[in-house]
Amino acid sequence: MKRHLLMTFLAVLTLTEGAPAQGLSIKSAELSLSIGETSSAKKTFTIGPPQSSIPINGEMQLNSGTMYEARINFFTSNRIGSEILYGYQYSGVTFNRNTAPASSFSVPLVVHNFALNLLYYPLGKTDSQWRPFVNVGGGAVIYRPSTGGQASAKDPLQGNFDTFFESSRGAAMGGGGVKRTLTRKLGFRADADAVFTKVPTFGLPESSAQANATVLPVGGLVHSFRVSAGLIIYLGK
Amino acid sequence: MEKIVFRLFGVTLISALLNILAQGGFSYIFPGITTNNSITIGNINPQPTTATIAFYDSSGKLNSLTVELGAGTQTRVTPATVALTTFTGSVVVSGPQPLTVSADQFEGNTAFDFIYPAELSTDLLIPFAPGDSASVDVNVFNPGPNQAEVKVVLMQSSGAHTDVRTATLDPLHSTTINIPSSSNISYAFVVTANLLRPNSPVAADAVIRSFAPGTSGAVPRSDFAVVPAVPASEFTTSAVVPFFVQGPDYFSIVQVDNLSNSQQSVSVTALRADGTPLPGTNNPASIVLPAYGSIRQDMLTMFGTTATGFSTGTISVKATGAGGVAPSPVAASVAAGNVSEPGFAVMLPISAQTAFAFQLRGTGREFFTGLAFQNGGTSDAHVTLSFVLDQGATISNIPIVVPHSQQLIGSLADIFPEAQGNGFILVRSDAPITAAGLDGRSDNSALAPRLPLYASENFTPPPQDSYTVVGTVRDPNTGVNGGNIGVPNVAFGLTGPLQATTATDGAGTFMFRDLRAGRYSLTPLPVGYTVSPGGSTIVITNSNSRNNDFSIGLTTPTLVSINPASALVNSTANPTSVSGTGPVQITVQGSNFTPSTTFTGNVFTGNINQFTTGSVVVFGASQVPTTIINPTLLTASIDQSLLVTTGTVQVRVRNLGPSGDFIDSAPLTFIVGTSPPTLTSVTGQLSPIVGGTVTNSFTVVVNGSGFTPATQVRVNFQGRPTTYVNQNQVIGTVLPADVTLPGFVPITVQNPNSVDSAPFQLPVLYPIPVVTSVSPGSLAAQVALNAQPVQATITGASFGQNPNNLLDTATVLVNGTPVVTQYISSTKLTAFIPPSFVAMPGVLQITVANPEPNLAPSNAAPLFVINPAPTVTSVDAGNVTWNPNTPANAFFNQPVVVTGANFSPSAVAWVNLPCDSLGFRKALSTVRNSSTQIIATIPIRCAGTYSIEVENPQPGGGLSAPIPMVVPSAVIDRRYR
Repeated sequence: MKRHLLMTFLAVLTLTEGAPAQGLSIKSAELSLSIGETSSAKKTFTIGPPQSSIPINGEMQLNSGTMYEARINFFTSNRIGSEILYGYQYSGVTFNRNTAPASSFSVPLVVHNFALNLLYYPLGKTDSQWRPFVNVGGGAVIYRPSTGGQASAKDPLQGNFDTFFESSRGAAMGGGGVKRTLTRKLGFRADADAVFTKVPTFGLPESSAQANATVLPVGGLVHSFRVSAGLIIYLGK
Repeated sequence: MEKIVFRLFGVTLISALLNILAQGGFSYIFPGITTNNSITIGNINPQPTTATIAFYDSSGKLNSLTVELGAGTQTRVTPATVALTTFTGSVVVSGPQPLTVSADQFEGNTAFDFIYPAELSTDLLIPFAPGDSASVDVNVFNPGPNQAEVKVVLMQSSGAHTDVRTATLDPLHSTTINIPSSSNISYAFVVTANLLRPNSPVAADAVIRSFAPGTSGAVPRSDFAVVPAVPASEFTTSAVVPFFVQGPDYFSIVQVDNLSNSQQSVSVTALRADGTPLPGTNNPASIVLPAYGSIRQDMLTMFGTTATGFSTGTISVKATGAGGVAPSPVAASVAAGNVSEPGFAVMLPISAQTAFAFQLRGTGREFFTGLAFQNGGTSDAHVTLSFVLDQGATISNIPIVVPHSQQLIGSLADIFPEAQGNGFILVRSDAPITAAGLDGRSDNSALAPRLPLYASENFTPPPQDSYTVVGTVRDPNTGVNGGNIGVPNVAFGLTGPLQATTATDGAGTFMFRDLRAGRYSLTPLPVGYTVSPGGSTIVITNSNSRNNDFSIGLTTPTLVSINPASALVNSTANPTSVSGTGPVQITVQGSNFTPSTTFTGNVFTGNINQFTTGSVVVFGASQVPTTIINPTLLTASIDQSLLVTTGTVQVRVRNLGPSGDFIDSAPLTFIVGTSPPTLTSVTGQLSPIVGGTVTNSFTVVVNGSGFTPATQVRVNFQGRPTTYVNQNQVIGTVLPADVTLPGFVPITVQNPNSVDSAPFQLPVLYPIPVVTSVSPGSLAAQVALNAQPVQATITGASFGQNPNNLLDTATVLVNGTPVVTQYISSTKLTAFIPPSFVAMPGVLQITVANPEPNLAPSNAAPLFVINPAPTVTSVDAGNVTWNPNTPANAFFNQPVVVTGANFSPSAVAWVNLPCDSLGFRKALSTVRNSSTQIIATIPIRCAGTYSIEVENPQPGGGLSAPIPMVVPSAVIDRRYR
């Protein structure tokens, strides 16, 4: 995960070439605290030979949930800004088996999201009351089972998985939003983003040559949509 | 097809459906089968069918066979049936129709249990495990087609389940996972469920060995219990275990498992068979169980039971949730056993139904079967029980009524005594009833649950083609657990169109089968006790004759004498610890003494372990070790601890009943005293004294020392009038009654508080016997080398028999030598005269001598021994010929083998020559080889037909019929003429 954070940070700095010159002035710093919702896509899977001669079809669903975000935002120019994002979400992951005997099992998760975003403001000036923006950036997402969730996943009486632990995935995100100044010290912000990560497998192998192995053959990316709204605290004013 | 799916825990057809779609049939899985298993397969359907039995061990299928089953028939299969001398694994029974199957397993000398078809699931529950008191073997079978990762999750009573045993099981393979006692598990899950893996349902059961109940006074269990693994999905928020047993000799342990991952409360209720709550301070019991937690307590603890009597009934469990959370599923089980015997069985809930069967094994009453029928409905259930043999023949049909809201519990011997042998009991009810049974050895060394099994609603047993007379003999007194004990070994005779005898079995049941219609007389034939009524007349038309019940009564023993009748007081503080002071042996004469017979009875109606019938000596208030010699004689052993106080002790003989009832003889007095005076001699007695001939009292002079005016002369240990002469002499009186019976009569002297002196043995003689006749009056001499003893009957009078030793009888003497004698009566004896006495003719002197002491042998009677008449069957002279050219008057001697019978040692051969007219003459010599062969040497003087005969000498004897012997003329070759 550290590698993902470092690369993202360097990329944002490269794009925001004026930033170092301006020294990320504290006068432009904003702290945003938001609350929102996420919605993630399902990932289907099929378990076949050698684990099962009859294909087992199912899907993995990262559950929707309330998301809490904190951002520190800087203007590096009139049109360009950058921000550091930390998001926290308590949700879960649900495994559904569609092949008979159909069954379902959910594991509570804590999702941590770290990102560096580059923001582009197409309209207005830094002191405009309304500042729409688009953003793009990258970072990492940590899917960490709760203590009880991990225990239930490995409990033979519940999930009966041989193993189940956290997955860390690099993330790319993009979206847009709008900021509005309310007072000298406070503002409002609304965001809508899409986040793309490699699918978490929680320590389960995607495939195995061993017939008795428990596998989770989900590959590729999983995306989620987030919408949030919150307050901006202007730190430099 | 869905109509036959009953939700029976452990047994039902759910397990049979595992391959129903794939193979169009029914399969039943038995995990944990060994060489000692016998699997019973029944077809209780209206149509014939086939069944395939396949044996699988840890490496896969070993062998199989297919059997054909007619409607209403059963067969029994063991591993040996398919040529497996050793086997451990699983057995799958399958067929195109539903089958009725169970297996019985024996281990060691006594332990046994039943195994029922295991259900398939990916999530199984074993509701009862031994805790830390015993190990458990979990047997698992994977029917395939996928490999199964089997996890046995060991559940602690707290709900913790961190200990998991895992096994990977290939399709059609078996395995056994041993869980040691150190694992301390209360129950267990067997799971293969994992939504990321192929569906791999398995079948399993658990075998608990060496269980320690932990109940006060309960011995460890040498019996084992098979606990089925039940699909967890079958458990609900309530459960009813259909049977518990609680009482002076029995205990039940109740276990409840919370199958939820959250805490909840449960309410547990114990109801007696009549539907009323078991008396207790905590019934129903309200219990809070942690997530996945469980509780196990004996009934005394769980319900605060205050009832001390014998009770049976049901255990109901209902989950009530907790904190507003809805109730979750629970599991309930009951482990039952006898306190002092090591039997052990685990009972699980069973569902109500209207048609089912119990499979029976053809054992004797060394095993019992208890049955419980519970009617939880609001109307009475009218039930028909039919007993059908394995071969399909119906033995009996009986109706019973199970009252609503009650439970009918009884032994099979009581409810349906004619249901004996390999077969099944078909149960049909007009209302759903819950049925369960408990099998066991009658001594409670092993117990096993007997569960209801599949029976088609459409199956009807065939009509009876013969009938049965059945009944029970009981003790009218109740046992400690209530009820009347069945009395074994009571003989019965049946006369009528068919005559037969039988005896009651261990449950007191007797039965005559295969009877045709007609009028019969049934008569009890008791020995040593009475049976009432004395008999009955039975008329059979078209149904069995049942309830031919009898009761026993005890005969009163009588007590004639005790020898010795006194013993020295033992003044040591702990007499039994003193070396050399062993128990005092006494011999008791009387009548109606009965040998002890240990037997067992009915588990539900009595303490089946402790009862004996027979006679025992009661010394004061103590029963002492007793050995019955015969109905008139016994010996007893009086421990020194009973002899610590001087004085008299009342001694009785007590005949015991099977329920602890008894009847005593009148007492005799036994003296515990100090050292006696010394008796050196007795003089002045009549001589001789012949038993039963003395009509007047007479005195005897007793010499010795230490006599006082208070000294008493005792005859047969009974005080008699005594005259004191001086310290060295007293005069005693002997009564005619003292010398009635021949034998040695002890005369002793006794001072106050002393024991008897050493006895003087006054001989009372047997009379001189009289022989009036011997039959037969004469015997043929036993000339054969392998002759057997000859039997003769001697008739006369005064032939004696020692009442204290019935084998000591009058003896027949032949020429003064005693021979084997059978005592018939005082007027008749049978003698077996050895063949050596009767090999030669003559006269034998037959006399009879009575046992010692006797006066003289009897008169002699003659028994004549005469020679038998000989018979000749063939003669053989070889190929002897006569040469016609022999000179005149020439002859030669020719040995001839004469074969026949009864040739006496003095037999003589005679020959008649065709050469002259002189007739028969003695052979030149006769040599007797045996009673059947003689070598005679005769002269050959011409060609022609000779005649040979054999003569036995007088007395008796005589000549045999002559046998011809041809001596041909020699053929002359003409070339030499």
